[in-house]
Amino acid sequence: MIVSGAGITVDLPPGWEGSIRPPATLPDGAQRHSVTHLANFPLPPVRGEYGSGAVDIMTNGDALIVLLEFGPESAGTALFANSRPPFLRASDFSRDMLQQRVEGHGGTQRFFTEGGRAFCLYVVVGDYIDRVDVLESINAVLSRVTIE
Amino acid sequence: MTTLVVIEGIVIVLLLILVAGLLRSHADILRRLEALGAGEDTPIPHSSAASITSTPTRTEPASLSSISGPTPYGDAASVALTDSRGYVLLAFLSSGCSTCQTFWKSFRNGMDLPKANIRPVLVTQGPESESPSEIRSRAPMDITTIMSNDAWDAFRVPGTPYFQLVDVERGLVVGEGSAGTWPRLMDLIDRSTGDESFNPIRLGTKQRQEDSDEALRDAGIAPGDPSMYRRDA
Repeated sequence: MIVSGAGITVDLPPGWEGSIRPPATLPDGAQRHSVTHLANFPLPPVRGEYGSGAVDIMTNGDALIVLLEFGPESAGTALFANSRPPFLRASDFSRDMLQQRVEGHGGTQRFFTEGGRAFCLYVVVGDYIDRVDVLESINAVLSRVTIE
Repeated sequence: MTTLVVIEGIVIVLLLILVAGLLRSHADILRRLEALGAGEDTPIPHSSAASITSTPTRTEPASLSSISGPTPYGDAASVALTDSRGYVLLAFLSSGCSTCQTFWKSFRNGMDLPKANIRPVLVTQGPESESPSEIRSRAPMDITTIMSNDAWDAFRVPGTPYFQLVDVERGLVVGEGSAGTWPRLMDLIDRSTGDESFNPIRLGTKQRQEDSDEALRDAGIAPGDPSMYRRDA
């Protein structure tokens, strides 16, 4: 099933679900950029940008992929100089690379620019020790993400 | 002449009584239909507005492995209906249907579903048929709401309110039908799930640890128990 919005398209395999929040101007005038959440477990409707609310219910075998867009002024800067990683390795994950530390979880974070847009790719696994079990599925989903 | 006038008067009175009776009967029928969920603006579901059916023999949740579309807040969303865990209660509702108001209100008030692993997903017609602002004013933010005409077509929604309970793990529609009240909806879920054992979908790490602690306590193993440190040769 394809989920598409804000110039991002993902062809989700069975069992995966997702949401793409489009950019918007907040009441205080601040700009909010697109936020994409993809998961192989039931995503709660209320979530923080880095998946708070969702990570709390993650268990063994669960994976959450967050694609957080930054402002166009960030594109191509030193932090976002790399291109999107074609795949992730088990060694990319760490228990310390979590926005919200949860016992047993592991995560990884990559910054990149694609199509003139700056992104942070943040991936959380429900069980750090068994992360290899879901890595193939995570990489399959990442390969199905298209950014315009 | 007088006799004719009297007879005519009696006939008129009898006709008036007959008309009043018919009107009363008609009003009664309308009231009952309204109570069953067939408002003027909604067709009665094919299975009749009050009926509840359980269809455990179906092998697929319609033809979709997921349901997707825009939310009333403009997000694009997709919810898995196969190969995941727990149950999804698809609630097809509309803003104009009078019976649906009961369910909008119940969902907004956070009414509990009978099992913890049942996730409600509200499905309305797409933005071309429903006003997103109308849906925003009715749908609670903590329940996923998807606006999709395609989903209505795929699930062959006969009218609103209409519900389907999908066993996501097995990819089965285990119950479907309409209900006029929240208790009737609970009946649908109870009948559909029977006495099946449920695996909570919201089992987090902390809960799993608590479950393990409880299992150890039940087995008579307390913290620091020597058996936890014994090395078998």
